[in-house]
Amino acid sequence: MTTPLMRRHSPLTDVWVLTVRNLKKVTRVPQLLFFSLVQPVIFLTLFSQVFRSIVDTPQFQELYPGISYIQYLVPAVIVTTVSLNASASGIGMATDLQEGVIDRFRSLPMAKYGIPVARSNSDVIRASLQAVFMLLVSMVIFGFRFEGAWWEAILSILIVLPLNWALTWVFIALGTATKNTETTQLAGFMVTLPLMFASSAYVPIDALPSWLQEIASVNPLSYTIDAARALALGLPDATGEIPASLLSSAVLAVIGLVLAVPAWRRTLRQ
Amino acid sequence: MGSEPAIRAEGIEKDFKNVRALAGIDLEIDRGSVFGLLGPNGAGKTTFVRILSTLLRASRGRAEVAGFDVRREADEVRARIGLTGQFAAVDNDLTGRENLVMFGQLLGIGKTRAKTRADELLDRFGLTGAADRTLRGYSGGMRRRLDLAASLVGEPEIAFLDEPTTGLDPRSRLELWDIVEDLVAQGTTVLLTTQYLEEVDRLADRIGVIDHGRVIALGTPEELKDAVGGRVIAVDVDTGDVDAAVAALDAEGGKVVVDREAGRLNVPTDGAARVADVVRDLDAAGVGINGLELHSPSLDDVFLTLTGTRASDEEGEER
Ligand SMILES: Nc1ncnc2c1ncn2[C@@H]1O[C@H](COP(=O)(O)OP(=O)(O)OP(=O)(O)O)[C@@H](O)[C@H]1O
Ligand SMILES: [Mg+2]
Repeated sequence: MTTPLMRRHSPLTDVWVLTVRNLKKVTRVPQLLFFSLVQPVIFLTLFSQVFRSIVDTPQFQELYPGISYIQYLVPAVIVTTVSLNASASGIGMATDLQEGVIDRFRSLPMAKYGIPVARSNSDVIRASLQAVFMLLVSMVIFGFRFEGAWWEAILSILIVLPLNWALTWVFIALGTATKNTETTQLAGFMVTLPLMFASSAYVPIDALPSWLQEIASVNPLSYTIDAARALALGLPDATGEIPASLLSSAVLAVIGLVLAVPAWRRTLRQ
Repeated sequence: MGSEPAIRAEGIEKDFKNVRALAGIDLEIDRGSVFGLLGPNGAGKTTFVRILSTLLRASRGRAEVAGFDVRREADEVRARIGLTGQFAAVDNDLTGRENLVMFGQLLGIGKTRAKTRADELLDRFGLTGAADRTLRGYSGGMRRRLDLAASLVGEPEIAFLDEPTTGLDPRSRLELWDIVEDLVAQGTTVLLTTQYLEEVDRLADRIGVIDHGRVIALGTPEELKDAVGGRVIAVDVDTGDVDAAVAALDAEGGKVVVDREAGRLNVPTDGAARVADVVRDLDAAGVGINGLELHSPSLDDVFLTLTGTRASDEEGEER
């Protein structure tokens, strides 16, 4: 009997090959790339105008004395936009399942869990690039400046990545379960919009209506927004915010994985 | 190991929620042969191919491909098969070359080897000129060819081709037939599904006719034609004369198959002697003969006899 051309190979090769493939796909749809970069600029412009008057409230004055609204806003917009871009993972997964390319992957002697792992990896890489881009735009266009130590500045950007990674698994679960791009997109909005607005992103939690305060205080995004903001603005005891951010991301990751792994297994064992 | 069949299926059944797609398929396919699986829409062809290529689990029964169990030794099977599914399974945002290199790497043949293999296949499938364009700019036929190339990256022992020529123009179909013949010349076993009778007639060593999830006939193309009976006399008459012609020929006893619109009557016969009877009877009834030929039954006749429907007419139905 002939020996097959294929050799046993490391699952890491499969993950690497698919991660590169996913990133290549991003560059192949320039419109999408363009809008995902322009969107944060629009958000920053809009929100900095709409919510500007919040600076004059006593809650804001007490918590962030002498801080301008744009300084308050930039770290939050970076955290929300970058982390919630994880919804692209779900859309990517659903598209692959819909277009049939997953069938070909499944007919190859490769590491099948490499498919969602690569999906998550490539979206985290993309998210980090987006975070850097947003930071540069905020500095150049909106005059944003870090006010803490240099390492606090770096941490304020890095801290969004665990949150983004955790969220990729939530959305991968969604995309795998629905196997449909449009459904994933709509369901994704229902997850991302409340997470975005019922949070400490635009207004201090204390200034929200009380029912929203309750939601905002269990919203994992709030913890990471608070940490990123404290680090970026060099607030006293900024590092003290880090554990809560990491813990909330970890909880979210567990939820995401608990949903994604069985959904993926069902897809493999039809 | 040499006498081991390439594919062995025993009592394969598959139930979807409320549909019984396969109702017990037993089949052996010899190494190096071309097996044609023929059946109308919804017969279960795709389901059977997906089970053999490890994409779907059978509800009951077992199957071995290249000597390995499709369920317990799936990766061994996957290393030895190439699957061209009914719908192209390629990445539309990547170029043709990138697709092939990627699948080679996922097979584990290494990037360098994958690149040379991609060049070979692009050349063989006439896609070198389009190699560095993304698939969004490919025509349907080009995408189909790339999909087939993708299934051959690993030089599979066994190739599954699920309706490979559906939607291709006649020239692309002929090209694809050449490719299948090349594969066979290299010793690849091919399992081909199709709704086109001429395709299996031309390519297959053995044919299985499948309907409602069962194999209803199995054999070489010649055996199947023999099973239907001897030869057929096809007579063309004016459409207005069809009824008179049928009445005249009924006396001959054989079952006449009539195509009213075309004014064609197919009269089964056991020998050339009956041609004279047919001509005499029609002449006596005053029916003019526009054309007459004596031919072996086509696989269309086979299908008609076995299932009572033309292969191309039947729509998929729920059971
Ligand atoms: N995933 C599924 N869920 C439910 N029913 C299915 C599924 N896949 C196939 N079927 C049903 O199983 C039967 C066999 O389908 P299959 O696709 O194998 O037929 P086929 O011979 O390939 O038909 P075609 O020539 O149209 O491709 C059909 O009745 C179909 O509706
Ligand atoms: Mg089919």
